[in-house]
Amino acid sequence: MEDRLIHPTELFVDSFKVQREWIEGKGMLLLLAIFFGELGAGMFLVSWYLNYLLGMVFGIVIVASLKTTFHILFLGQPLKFWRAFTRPQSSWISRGVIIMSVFVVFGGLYVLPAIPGFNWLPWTAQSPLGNALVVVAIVAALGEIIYVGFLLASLPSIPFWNSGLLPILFITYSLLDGAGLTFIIAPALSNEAINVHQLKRIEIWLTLFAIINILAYIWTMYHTTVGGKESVLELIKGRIATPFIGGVLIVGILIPLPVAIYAHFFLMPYAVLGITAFMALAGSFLLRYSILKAGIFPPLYPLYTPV
Amino acid sequence: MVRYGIVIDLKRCIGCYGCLVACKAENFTPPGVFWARVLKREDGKYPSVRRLSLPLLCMHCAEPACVEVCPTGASTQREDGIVFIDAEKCFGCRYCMMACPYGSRFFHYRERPYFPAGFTPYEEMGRQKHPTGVVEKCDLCRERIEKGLEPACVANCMTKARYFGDLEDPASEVSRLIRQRHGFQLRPEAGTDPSVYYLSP
Repeated sequence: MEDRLIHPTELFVDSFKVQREWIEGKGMLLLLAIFFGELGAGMFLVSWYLNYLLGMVFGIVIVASLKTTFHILFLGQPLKFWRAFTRPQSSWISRGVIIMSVFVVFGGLYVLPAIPGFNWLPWTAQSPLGNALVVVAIVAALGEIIYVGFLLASLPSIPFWNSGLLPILFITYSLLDGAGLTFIIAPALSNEAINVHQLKRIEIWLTLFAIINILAYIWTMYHTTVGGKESVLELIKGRIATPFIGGVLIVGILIPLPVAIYAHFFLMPYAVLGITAFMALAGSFLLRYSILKAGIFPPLYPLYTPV
Repeated sequence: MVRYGIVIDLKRCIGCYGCLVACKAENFTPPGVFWARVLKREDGKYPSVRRLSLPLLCMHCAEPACVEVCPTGASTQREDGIVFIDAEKCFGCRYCMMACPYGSRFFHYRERPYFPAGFTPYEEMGRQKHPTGVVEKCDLCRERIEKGLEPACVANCMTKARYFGDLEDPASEVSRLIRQRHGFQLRPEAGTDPSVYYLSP
């Protein structure tokens, strides 16, 4: 696995160099950590908006278990993971770890009294302390879905990531993921009434916003830097075209969106809607995959130098 | 205040990889890890073409993006401008590799010998300097500098294409070369202000 990461032609030729560390081999664990972190926080926020407690619990569990585990496993020295807390003043990874911890702790404390066996705790979801806890948890959940975008956007070395539009795209997709997973698991996990129409309406608007986001991001990247243009070409007709066009655009947007709009006006079997919500989730995962995979370092020596 | 830097004369460089080998010999770097490299590039259009060699090492930037993003404080910068990694603190997140515009950082995945017969005595010594699961990079041969020597890549360049000195001292050879021959930095748009300058071929 490790040997695949050594590419002699990339090491010794001055050309566009794709980033591999964060997407190939163990880098896939980082992708999973990013995806589950944003999925869990998005689900918490959507469930809070819909007043769906079990969804909030599920969102916290996803972040606390899957995101944390994948993140730690990705590290070269997993036992030193605690060091990530030490530099929030300048590092987005440190900020992200602290934000995630705050989200899990405060969100967990907020939902804990509603879990059987913990009703002896001296606060409830409606009490002043419960309200304070949920406010902190919501702010941290927003931070959780924002920070990865900033983490990537703060890197001038990779022009395709170095854009203020990236955090917006990630926020949109996190909420979309949260709505999708809430829709999928709600009937399976509980009898709590979920307003399906409201959930679908959220999904439709978020998907439309995601389309605008993607188009704006791609257009901007294509027209600003040489490196960004190269990445866009990879997405549209290069080695990432299949996951991006097939996965992100067709499976993730073009199929689920018309179904969701149709279901908004007419009755449709829940299973069909569940399948399309799952397709949207797959598209969201592939969006993050495509963005990480399209990260390219431009050549070092100035291009097109006259002889 | 001293700010160590290197000037590389691309007109003199013949792309012999001597710096790469000298660096490997000095620092025991394991297979797949190159603190110094030489990139090749073809420029122009037929019949007016040329082959360019671009020697590369850590740029020891004045505004190092790698130090900024490091979540553990493992990447640090000395007062003399040398950027180095404390392997004890590094946990291998590789954020610095993404932040470095020059690809000067390498992740050491696992120990492996150069030859099928196993580790040579020389490699055994190097193993102590290169723990696995962490990022590593050129430290400008800081141990040699502390002894008053030049970095190994500078001392061993057979065409004398490399110059080492204090960028803050206007009278130093490096400062003079940058001034007189319009030394340039790689990827200045990244905003890192590298301490390695190049002279046009």
